[in-house]
Amino acid sequence: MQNKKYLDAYLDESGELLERLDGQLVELEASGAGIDELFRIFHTLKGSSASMGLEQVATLSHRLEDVLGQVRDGKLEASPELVDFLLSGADGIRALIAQETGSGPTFGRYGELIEQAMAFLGQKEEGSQHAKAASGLQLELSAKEEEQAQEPLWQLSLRIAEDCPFKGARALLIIRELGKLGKVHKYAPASSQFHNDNYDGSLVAIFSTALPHDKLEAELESKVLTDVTAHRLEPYIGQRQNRTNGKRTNGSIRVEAAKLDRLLNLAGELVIGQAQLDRIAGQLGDDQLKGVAANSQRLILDLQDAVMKVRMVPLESVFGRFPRLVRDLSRELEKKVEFVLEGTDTEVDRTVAEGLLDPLMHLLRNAMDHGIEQPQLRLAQGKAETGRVTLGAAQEGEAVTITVEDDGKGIDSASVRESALAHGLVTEERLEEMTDHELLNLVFFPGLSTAKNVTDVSGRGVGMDVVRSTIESLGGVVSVESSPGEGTRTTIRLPLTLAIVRALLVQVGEETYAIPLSQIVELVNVGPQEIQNVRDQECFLYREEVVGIYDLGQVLDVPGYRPDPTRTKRIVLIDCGQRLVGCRVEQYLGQENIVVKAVGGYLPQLSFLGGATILGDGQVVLILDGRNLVA
Amino acid sequence: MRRKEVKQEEMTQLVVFRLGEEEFGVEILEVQEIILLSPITRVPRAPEFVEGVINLRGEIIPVVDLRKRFGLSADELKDEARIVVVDVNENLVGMIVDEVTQPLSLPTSQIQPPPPLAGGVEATYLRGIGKLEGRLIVILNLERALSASEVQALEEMEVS
Repeated sequence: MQNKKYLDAYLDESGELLERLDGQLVELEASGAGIDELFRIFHTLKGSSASMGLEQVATLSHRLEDVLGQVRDGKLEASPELVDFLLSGADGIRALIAQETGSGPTFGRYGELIEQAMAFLGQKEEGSQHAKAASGLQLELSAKEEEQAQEPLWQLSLRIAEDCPFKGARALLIIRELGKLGKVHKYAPASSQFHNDNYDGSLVAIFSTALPHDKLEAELESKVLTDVTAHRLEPYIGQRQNRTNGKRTNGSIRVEAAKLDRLLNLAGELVIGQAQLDRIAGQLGDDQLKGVAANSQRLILDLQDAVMKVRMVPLESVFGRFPRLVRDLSRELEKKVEFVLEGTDTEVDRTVAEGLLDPLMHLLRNAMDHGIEQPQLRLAQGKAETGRVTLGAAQEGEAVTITVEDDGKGIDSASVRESALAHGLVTEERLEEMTDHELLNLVFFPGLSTAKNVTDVSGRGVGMDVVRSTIESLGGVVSVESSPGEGTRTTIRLPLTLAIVRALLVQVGEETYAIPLSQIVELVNVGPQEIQNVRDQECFLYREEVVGIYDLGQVLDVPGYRPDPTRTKRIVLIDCGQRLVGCRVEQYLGQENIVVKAVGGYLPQLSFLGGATILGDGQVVLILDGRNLVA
Repeated sequence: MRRKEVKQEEMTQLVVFRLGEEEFGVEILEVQEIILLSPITRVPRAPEFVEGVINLRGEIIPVVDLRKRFGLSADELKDEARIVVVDVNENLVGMIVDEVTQPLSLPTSQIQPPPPLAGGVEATYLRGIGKLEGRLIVILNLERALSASEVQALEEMEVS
């Protein structure tokens, strides 16, 4: 095995390619689109694996590429069986890489996969004989030549008919006609060969054109390919495209995540330093100093913003893995499902994206297993035979909302009720008071599962509570809505970023606390006459919802805190996912960008704490996690 | 060679501090630094002996009051009071002490196993008793004194 540095880069790259591969293959099956992208992926895998000395990976990639070639040339159909094979081929490549790099067991299906590939190819071997003969000629562009190409590059291999009397002249004509469609960069054999009597009539040309694939094929058939018995057109994949995974990038580079984290930490420290400078400038009252401080504040905010953006990744990196999951599940469960992805370009912090994978996978499994019904059942109920599962994302201010929605049978609130009672999660008394929304959201409590049959896929009574705790550890909230017979929607709300957040500073007694804006719904002032008492719990009506009021000073046992019952209450309305909570504070001290810091490993996790931050004057302020403030 | 070994008697280096009237010591390797008292932010629902958290050059670390921890009488803190920042299992923790006296080098042979109770502190929290020129220095087992049982206590508190 080669140098570790190269190996890491290879593993990074191939991992990324394989991730895209699954999604692209599912896409191919669904719509027949994206075949060129698939080609590039296999081609790049083939090349980089060969250069790492991973012969089996390279060979398998090559065979898969060949099979794909037959699909592109219309000689094989992208049937579920073929896509199954290509997907298992992708799995094989993964397993082989793991085996070769010592991170996985020996992979025993290599020979079998190659045989399967040959079987797919063998049936169609005849049709491609001629094109193969022509492609015996090798052509390659230099990096510089590649760079000069303004339009996508194609490689055309063909063979001029045996009975064509002037093969050389025909070849020259073809080159000329090709030139009218775009720009011919190189061809073989050299034109001097055309005059040779022994010229066999094979020709390979690399050219660039703006024409889309289908149009190009049509133009070739009608204008260029006269007296040609076989031809093969494929995207030309050169060095440069190889390096950038086939996408033209604006000079992007790979950066170790740890370096970004460090950059973010430094930016965070700067924010704190800046707050100090601001404060001192204000105290001294020196206009010149204030000017400098204001200027540097603006720059630091820009810097912080830029650093945050660098860490943001589009959710596509997570969502892209699911089409395959849904496809495999739908076949396994024998359900028909249309899977829709929305808002995949929504960006979140890298850490958030990584943390989302497992919970989303779980929610999708649930939707497939417990949500979507069998096709006959759907038809019997007057629903479309094919169910629909939607995974969507959207940014809303400081938060990102992710929804998993299905049009399946919905959650049966009666069985939630039953199960909650059976597991002693709530008392009957409490159940009586619960709204439907509250009742449904009991599914997020540990040990509650409404699934009647425990299947392989989900419904083992664990899961939703893990989903909730994972989302909460990412600083988010999760809630579920459902109507029987119509479907279920799970909504996840997450802060855009984790490290620097915008927060409201509030005061109770002598103490200051920060509450992240992503958790706050609204600030409301509630007069004494609007407050009702329900079972010793102060409440008020907010948009027809009864919201409990909790006094922050009492909840946190602030020393010397005395609430004044006669005064208007300042309420911070907090979104706990399953419900709203009104949190009474004494003063709003304003909004600030705060750097979230851990409270140190020595203290155990206090669930109502979301960390701590340091204000401009050096004071440590605790960040509240509003969702766990009151039980 | 042999002579050298005899000469190099194993020494234990201690940071010595005062809690009330008693002298305590911790091994110097466990101490990261000693700082002046700085403003402490209270942490609600934390055990009584956790005074809160402080800002240590941009890091946030918890601070405990050892006097409360060991149930010793706690007088008003004076100007001599310090925070001894120690490293317990890679977590930094500040300990409030009445006064830091001086670092001390003690022959390890002079350290005896702790009696059931020393300086008002139970033996489980102690590493031993150091004797030097008539002084008795109670050497703390930081891992026990600050960690295991405490974390447990904190976790129990969290659950209830």
